Amino acid sequence: MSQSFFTKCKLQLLILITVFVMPVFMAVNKFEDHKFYVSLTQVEYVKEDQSLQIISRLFLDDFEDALKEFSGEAVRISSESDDTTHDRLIENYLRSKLKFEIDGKKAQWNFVGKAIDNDMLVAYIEITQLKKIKTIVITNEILFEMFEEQQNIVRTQINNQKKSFILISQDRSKVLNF
Amino acid sequence: MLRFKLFFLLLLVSGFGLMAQEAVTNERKPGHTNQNKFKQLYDEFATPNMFRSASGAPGPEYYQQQADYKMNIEIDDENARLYGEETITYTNNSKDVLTYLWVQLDQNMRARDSKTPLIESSGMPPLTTPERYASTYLTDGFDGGFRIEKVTLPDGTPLNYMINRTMMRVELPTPMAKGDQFSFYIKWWYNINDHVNDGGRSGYEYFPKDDNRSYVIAQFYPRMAVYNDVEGWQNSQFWGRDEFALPFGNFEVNITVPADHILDATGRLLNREEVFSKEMLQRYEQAKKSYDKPVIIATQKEAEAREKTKSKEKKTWKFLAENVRDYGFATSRKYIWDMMAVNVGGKDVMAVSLYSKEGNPLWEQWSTYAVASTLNTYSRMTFDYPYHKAISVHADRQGMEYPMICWNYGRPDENGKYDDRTKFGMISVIIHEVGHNFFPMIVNSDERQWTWMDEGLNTFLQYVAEQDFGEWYPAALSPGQTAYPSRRGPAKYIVNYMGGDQDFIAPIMTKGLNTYQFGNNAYGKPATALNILRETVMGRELFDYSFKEYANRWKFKHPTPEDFFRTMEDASAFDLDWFWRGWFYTTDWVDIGIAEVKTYQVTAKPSDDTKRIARRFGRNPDDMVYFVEASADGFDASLKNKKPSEISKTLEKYLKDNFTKDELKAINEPKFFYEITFNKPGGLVMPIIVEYTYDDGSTKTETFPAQIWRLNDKEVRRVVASNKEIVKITLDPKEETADIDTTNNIWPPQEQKSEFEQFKGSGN
Repeated sequence: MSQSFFTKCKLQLLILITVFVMPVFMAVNKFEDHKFYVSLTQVEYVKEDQSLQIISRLFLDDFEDALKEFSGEAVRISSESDDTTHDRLIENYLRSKLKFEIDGKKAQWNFVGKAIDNDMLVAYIEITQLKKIKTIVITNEILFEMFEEQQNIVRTQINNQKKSFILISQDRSKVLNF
Repeated sequence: MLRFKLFFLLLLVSGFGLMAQEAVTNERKPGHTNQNKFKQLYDEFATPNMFRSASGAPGPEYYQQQADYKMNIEIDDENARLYGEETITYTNNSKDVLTYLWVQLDQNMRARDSKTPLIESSGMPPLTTPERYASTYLTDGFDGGFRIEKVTLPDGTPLNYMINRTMMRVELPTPMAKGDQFSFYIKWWYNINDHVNDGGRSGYEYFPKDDNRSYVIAQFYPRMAVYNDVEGWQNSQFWGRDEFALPFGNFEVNITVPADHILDATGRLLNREEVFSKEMLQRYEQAKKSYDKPVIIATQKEAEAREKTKSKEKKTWKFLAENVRDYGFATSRKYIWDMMAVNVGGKDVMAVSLYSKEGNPLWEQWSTYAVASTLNTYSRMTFDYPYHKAISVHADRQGMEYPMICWNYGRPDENGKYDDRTKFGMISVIIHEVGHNFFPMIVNSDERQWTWMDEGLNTFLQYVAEQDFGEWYPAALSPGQTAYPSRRGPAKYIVNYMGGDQDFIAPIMTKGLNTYQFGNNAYGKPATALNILRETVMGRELFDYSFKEYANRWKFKHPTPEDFFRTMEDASAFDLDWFWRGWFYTTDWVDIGIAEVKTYQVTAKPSDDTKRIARRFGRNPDDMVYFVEASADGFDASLKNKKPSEISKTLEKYLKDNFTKDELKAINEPKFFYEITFNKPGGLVMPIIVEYTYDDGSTKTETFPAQIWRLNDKEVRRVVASNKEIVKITLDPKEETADIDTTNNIWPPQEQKSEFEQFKGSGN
């Protein structure tokens, strides 16, 4: 069968039937080949540019469901990367879910843009004019409202140190000290 | 003796001796077993035997069982129920004596007492909808298990049986010896599930606007399990995700549905005149002669008229399917139907599509062409498609295969609009599911155990078929596209998975149910591995011959992973144990880099140390040719364009004494010498593909077979002699090995823009 719909289809709907792990308002049935609700966010601090560069990869179909819940309207993100129709909505959603606090202050980030890579949405985000980082609190709540088992993997490269951790709905933030 | 000495001399000079010296230490390392990446797979593979030969072919004692079915099926559309009765005739072709039979009851996965939901971990949601709260905590939910009413001999005598969840053991009145046949009768019914809202590979979709259901029905009958030389009874429970293992047989099936339904199914339709209208019969005759364009057998206008009313009458569609491993059918009063003939190896096959108006205009445009194209590609790569038809049925959110028939997703929006994702999603899933006719419907591997054997092989051929489709039907491509946009196949698409978190990656050789990231594990990675074998490791000629050999050896039989691995080597004289070991039995990844490049020239002024080496081995220092490294004393940049024979008197004399004038003329002396150190941070051994760029802008590619890593898994060196200066060295320039880190692939090292900078710089 096509994996594109059955992995999640099978498991999810079994889960749904018993409704243990329950996505709150999600469409009952999902069909994709990732059985696995996971996102990957890479965070790199480029000191010479005073820039914190963030790349988030999310499964497009999950993300569309989340945008539907978020905006109340069905959203179909075009496979053409340069279509910016929904960029504003994507940005607003990400603002509500992805937060950074640096040395005690909430950091404002810029939405640089997005790209489509097969079945993934890739979002590019940047925090500028950042002279140093001693402490950073990273909060990533993307898709937690949709899938109880969503895991948001975060990999950081800050001050020449590589770190990696996973955020889940019961544990939404991580503090890193340098 | 001289040769012996020279060998040592070379060892010393090549640096191998240097490494040996470094390893000298007072501590003795403990002993170890053979951990070499090129160790043969004797420990992993089953020992060849009379059933399965060491060549990978079926052995002289190979056998397989047969299960023949006679069935009467009725769909109760009003209550969404399926009623069935069947007589199974089972033939024991093994020399084993059987005292019981195992029958699969897949629908019990949806029974109220199913354990399937209980193997998923769960957590408390902070909030939920009232509907979901009620269905979870207040009601019992949908009950879709089999109601088995009778299990008897054909004369009605009850048989003893026991049901263990999705498996039923039927006791044989007398044991079955080789060649014995046993017939028994089962009567059952079950509630058909809503596959859109409750999921499942079989079920109905309900259309509230016209109050109709479209049914795609499979796993609807108690099915014989496989008994074979590898596992005995393959009675591994059906948990829901893993697919099937089924014996071959002949099916006589009568299906009764409302008279206004359009139906198609596995097998030859025996009573076409009874169930087709006159117009349909005429159109069907046209379709049999139409090789370039589908002919509509049942039009959209007719379908829209049919869906407005509900006939109280019934019609029975009669089919005969020979040598199939399973059975499926689709029925609805909403269906539109088109067909086109395809010539496969001199024989006509019908490419068929069945869809409701919700699938249009996309379905009438591309479905049947995708079916036809798939049959052509797969037949070329394996064997001629042996059945008389292949049907693609439109079903929302489905993608599932059965013999001759499959369900496929891809639906435009309510205005009939669709984007590339929908269009290529639909064409790709049709190619994939029609392709499954070959793997596993005909090359009948055990899907429940080894998902990759059908999904991986099929996804590999899907890529080949998609590329063919893009070439044969360029009108299907969108503006600006020059090839079909495949999501799987090319090596670079698997890099993120293979380079990902090891905690969530399982080897391909893992039971499908127990893998993480199912799609990448069972579809993407094996498909990519085969594509790399074909394009990079073996080459198309050797690969295609061997792959075809495997398909032909095992068509209409039950192969195991070893049968595939062994055949690929047996037919090609290509030892691939290292490849299977790395790609299929481990979660290792590819990362090969350039650690160092040293530049040398021939010198007339060797250092005293170098001369001493010559003396130590009894050679006159004046008889030797010497090299000097670019950073060492004695390296003379001004000699850059001089021939070594103009620099070294020894060499000049040797050439003069040993070559004729004509021979000397033909020699193109190298002037530049490089010693390249390749390192391998990744665990997988792979060929090293090196591209040299010369100072005149030209390039040359050289490939070192994977075996270069056999004695040192971490680091190897190569000397490259060139008559042009090399200004750049690139590893894997075409991204064909799935190297997960390409920052170490270029010399001299280049500052590479990060992905972020690249995106920002691209104007976004």
